[in-house]
Amino acid sequence: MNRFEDNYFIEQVLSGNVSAYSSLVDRHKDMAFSIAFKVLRIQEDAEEVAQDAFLKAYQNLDKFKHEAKFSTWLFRIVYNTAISRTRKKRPDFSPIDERTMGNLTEDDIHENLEQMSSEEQQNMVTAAIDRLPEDESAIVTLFYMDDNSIDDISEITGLSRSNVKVKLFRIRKKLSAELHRNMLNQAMA
Amino acid sequence: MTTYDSRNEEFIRRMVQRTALKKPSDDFTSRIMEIVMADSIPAKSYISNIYWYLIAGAASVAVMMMIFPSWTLFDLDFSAGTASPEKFAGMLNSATHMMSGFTALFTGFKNGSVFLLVAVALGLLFGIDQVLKKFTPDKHFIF
Repeated sequence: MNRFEDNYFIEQVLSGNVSAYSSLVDRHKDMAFSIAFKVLRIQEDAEEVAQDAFLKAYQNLDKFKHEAKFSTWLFRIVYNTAISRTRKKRPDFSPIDERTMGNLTEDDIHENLEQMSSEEQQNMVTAAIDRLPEDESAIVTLFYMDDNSIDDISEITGLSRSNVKVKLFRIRKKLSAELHRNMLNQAMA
Repeated sequence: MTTYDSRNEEFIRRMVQRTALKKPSDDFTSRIMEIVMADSIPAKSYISNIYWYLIAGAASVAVMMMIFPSWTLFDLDFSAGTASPEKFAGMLNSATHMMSGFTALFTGFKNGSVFLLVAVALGLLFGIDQVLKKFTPDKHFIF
């Protein structure tokens, strides 16, 4: 997303052209919703949080300092709102044990996955991401799907840069472990 | 990061990017815009934060001068209407005269009353800023 285009729409809104805000919503709604969904895992709750975040961002648009990207600022609101909501009702899930790789190497996992159809791959990877804790699931989405930098993710999540790096390292391990587990399950089925 | 790690990283990136982003319902944007259109324009504050800090700072100094009409700092005498560094003499004299006249207005007041007056004045300024921000359709800048 081009931050200069975002800045143009922001200036339009602040100059009185309120309808220009719909362009900002359209540009960022999928990512905002995805972050909320990764954290909350419930469609309706995620929509509510994403909507609240867009409204909060609109009401505070005059306070937006152009030091960061608009998307970083918006996603931070989405992430914080979603995390604070999930603390109230945390869904039960069993954590992934990143050590359980069995006798398959990561190369074997890559090879097996590459041989699957794209739909099977999507399902398997989505299932693996969904098994991550909510904050890690959101970080994966931010890092791999929206190409946010470590600095951006640090800004959005409030974690330190080194903490984000460590989390990404552990996430990769967990995803590999989970993909391995799913493959074994599929082979046994 | 080792070659192996970077290969694994690349693989994960490729796989994750093949999964689609979640999409909200079709009327998501229109629902937000309905609320936004009913709301007022988020116009910029008439008085930016930095000016609020300056006003608060100036008010604090004024209050301090009223509470302590005679004080010194780094051997400079800040007694109202008396000595001041020569290079600033003219400016400081007129300022201190103004302050003397101003403090005379409050000689009958207790310190608490002065605080109250300053607080009320700041509150009024803030209130006026908020009201103007809320009810003015176009954006204007005082500062």
